[in-house]
Amino acid sequence: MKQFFTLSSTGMPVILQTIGPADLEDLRAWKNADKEAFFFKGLITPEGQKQWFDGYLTRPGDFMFAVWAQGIKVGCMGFRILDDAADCYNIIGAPQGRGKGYLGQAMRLMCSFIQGEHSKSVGCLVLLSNPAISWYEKCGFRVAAKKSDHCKMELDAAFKPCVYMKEDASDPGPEFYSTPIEMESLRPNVVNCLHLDEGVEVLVLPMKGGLKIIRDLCVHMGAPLSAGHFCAAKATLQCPWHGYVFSVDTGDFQRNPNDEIFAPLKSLYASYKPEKKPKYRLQMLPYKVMGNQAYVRRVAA
Amino acid sequence: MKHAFTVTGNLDAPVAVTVAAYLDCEHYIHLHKSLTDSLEIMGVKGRVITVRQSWKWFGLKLGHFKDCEYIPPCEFKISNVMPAPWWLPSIHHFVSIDTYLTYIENKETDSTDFRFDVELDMPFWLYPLRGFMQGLIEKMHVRQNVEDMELIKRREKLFGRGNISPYVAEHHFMYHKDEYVKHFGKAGRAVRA
Repeated sequence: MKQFFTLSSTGMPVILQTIGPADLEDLRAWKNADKEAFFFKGLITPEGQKQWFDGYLTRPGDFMFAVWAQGIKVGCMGFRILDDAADCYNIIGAPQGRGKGYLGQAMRLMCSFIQGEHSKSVGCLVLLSNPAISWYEKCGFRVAAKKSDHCKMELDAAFKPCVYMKEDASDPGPEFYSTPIEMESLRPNVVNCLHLDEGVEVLVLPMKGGLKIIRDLCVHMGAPLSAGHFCAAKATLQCPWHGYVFSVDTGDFQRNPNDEIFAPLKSLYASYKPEKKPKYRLQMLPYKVMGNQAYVRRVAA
Repeated sequence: MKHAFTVTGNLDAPVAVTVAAYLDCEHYIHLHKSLTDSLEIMGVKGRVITVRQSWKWFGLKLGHFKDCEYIPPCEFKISNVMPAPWWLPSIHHFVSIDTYLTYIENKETDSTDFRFDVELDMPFWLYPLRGFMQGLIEKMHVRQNVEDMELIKRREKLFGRGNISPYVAEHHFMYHKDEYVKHFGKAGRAVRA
């Protein structure tokens, strides 16, 4: 049975996720756009792509990954286990992910995984006309043999693998809400309101450095923060009931705009003790990204 | 010439909660932002707080002064409504508006009955507009009740009916807090006759 899993490494912004049906159209488009770099130069049709995928599912030693970085799909790469080596293939960078080093990091992650799990030497076949030969060399490959139109490249013995984590991608686990957040459906610079399981509502803000997922509940009185005011420039969220302002970066309470208004009255009541004000903080929810979906960790009721 | 009218109804929440929501002044310009843009405390004398309530209009800050009195445990009076600034052409130059809101505990349903008495005093030539003015006041009163009840009902769903703990928490500010705590305690007990 085909394995579905993700590969990641601490400190690396990229995640490799074994592909599923939702990735096929991206793979087809990228490969058709870049077909001059590949041995097969025909145009791949949706039917042809589906046929390839059906065959792929039956080959246990064949792995194709979508590469994710900062919630965006930035390319793909794969490898297949042969008798004596692992053959890397179909390495393509999406236009939106090029020039940022993501694919190089993804390559390092994949090669580390191959060495760690399969103990095989790692190689690939590259057309001599493909300008990416120098990119492979930067990734730690060297040309081992040349043919008339292509070369065989092998991962150098000096390659330094990274520590990788492999996680089952078919089930986020019971500690996460089972309803996923579809990353591609999120609108940037606005508050995306989503319902998870068990009546839990969250605000999802796609920001630099990843998602901010906040429970839709003001810690002061219980207001729906989704009805509040989000300021993208200041990265703040203002409660709709009492106007309290919170940072969406840290969740910290920033200010109470009413303090100034009611200052003349605040010393009049013995039962009001401002020095006892708690440190309000928005409930920021941890999550994990699995492919183009994010799963939110459960919170206590 | 005087024109008086009364609006009565029921708010499905314990009286300790409806009074707390009324006195919870920090929500006035946020939850009720459609009714008020800004609020200033102009003075305080016993249970009477004089405020300036304003709206922004083409860059101008227009509004009125008013005296808001709390008569514990469940009565609220608004009087001396005057235009702010004074030179503002305003209905308040001609019409005196006094309102008296009473919350009454409904023990059968653990809810709040209310009676909202309004008295308008106006010159004869404005008298034909009394129905229009009554409509506006009633509309504002309904709107305020609807917004408050949305808050109350959400809190009830999340934290239970009659939960006033955040209002009486020492760090929370509200108008006439000492009086409120004296009459309702810290657990939101019912008002005793």
